[in-house]
Amino acid sequence: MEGFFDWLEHTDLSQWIRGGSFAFPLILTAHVLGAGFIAGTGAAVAFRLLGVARGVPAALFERFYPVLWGALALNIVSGLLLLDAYPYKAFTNPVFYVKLSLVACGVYLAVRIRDGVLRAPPWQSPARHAILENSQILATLSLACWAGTLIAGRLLAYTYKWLLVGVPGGF
Amino acid sequence: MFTEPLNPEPWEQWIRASGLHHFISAYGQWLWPALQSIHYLGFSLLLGTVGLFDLRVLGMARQIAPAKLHRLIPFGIAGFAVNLTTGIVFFFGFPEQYFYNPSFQLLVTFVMIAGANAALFYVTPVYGEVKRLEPGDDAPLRAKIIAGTSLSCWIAVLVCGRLITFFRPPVFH
Repeated sequence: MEGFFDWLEHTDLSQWIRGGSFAFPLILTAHVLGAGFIAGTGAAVAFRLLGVARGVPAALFERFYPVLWGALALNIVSGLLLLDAYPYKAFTNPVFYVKLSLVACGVYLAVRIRDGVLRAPPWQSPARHAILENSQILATLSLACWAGTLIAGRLLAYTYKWLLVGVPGGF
Repeated sequence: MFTEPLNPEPWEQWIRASGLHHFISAYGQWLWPALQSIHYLGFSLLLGTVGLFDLRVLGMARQIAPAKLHRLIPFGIAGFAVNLTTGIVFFFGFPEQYFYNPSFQLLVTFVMIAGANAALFYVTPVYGEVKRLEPGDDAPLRAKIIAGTSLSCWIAVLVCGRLITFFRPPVFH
């Protein structure tokens, strides 16, 4: 496995991103901005389901989902580029796996909330109370997932054991 | 732009003598990552509230009445308050690293522009115009200019914040 990461770290693209030019700061900044929008939009939807801004019909929050999906697309691309620059650094850090799991849970919850709550308004349903209660659980879990994602993402900078294959991180 | 003098200025010496600076120096190992994480959460809250409100004024999700969506704004203000507090702690930890950092100087500039822009929104009749918008209504151009400025400034603040690391002044005390 180390051989593969070592090879990847020596490819042109990987070396160019790490090369000390504008590439790495730019990609990292895009990634941080995207994650901020994903978590922020997710939080806004969750706040609505928990009772903030009740004047806005919950269903209309689906109109902001393009922000979430657009930012997610940006972060898949920027994330893959960051991973290409420092693959060994990420895959040898347990926090990275925690972050990926939280992202997966967050995306799953965003879809569940859209399909099960935003598109099924409680006031039109005979199972009104069940959906309301369910939506609050989903909203709380979603808030926890996105907050956890940002925290885990930020902590990656402080928890890696290896910078590159054969180059320790110093933590 | 400020360049770092050879000897620390009195304000820097004052910060370095403060209890907060010593506290950060003593507990930096866990305090720093923890506060950095909180700083990021606060910013995300700002993007998800003020940012979405700006997007509505600009024309996204037009079926939502802006006045109703405005209920999210206090969460954004809370996020900003958290970030101002954690930001001051960062500054007390490594004052010269921030003060003489062009990226930090730009960040502060954009925060001030965003603040002046928000003040302009609330003290002029624009706020009243936006508040009266019904679902489906298009916001007036001057409201869109303010919303566009707000969104751009906050994005610029995040960009400058993330880039601080890459523009550290060469001298470390």
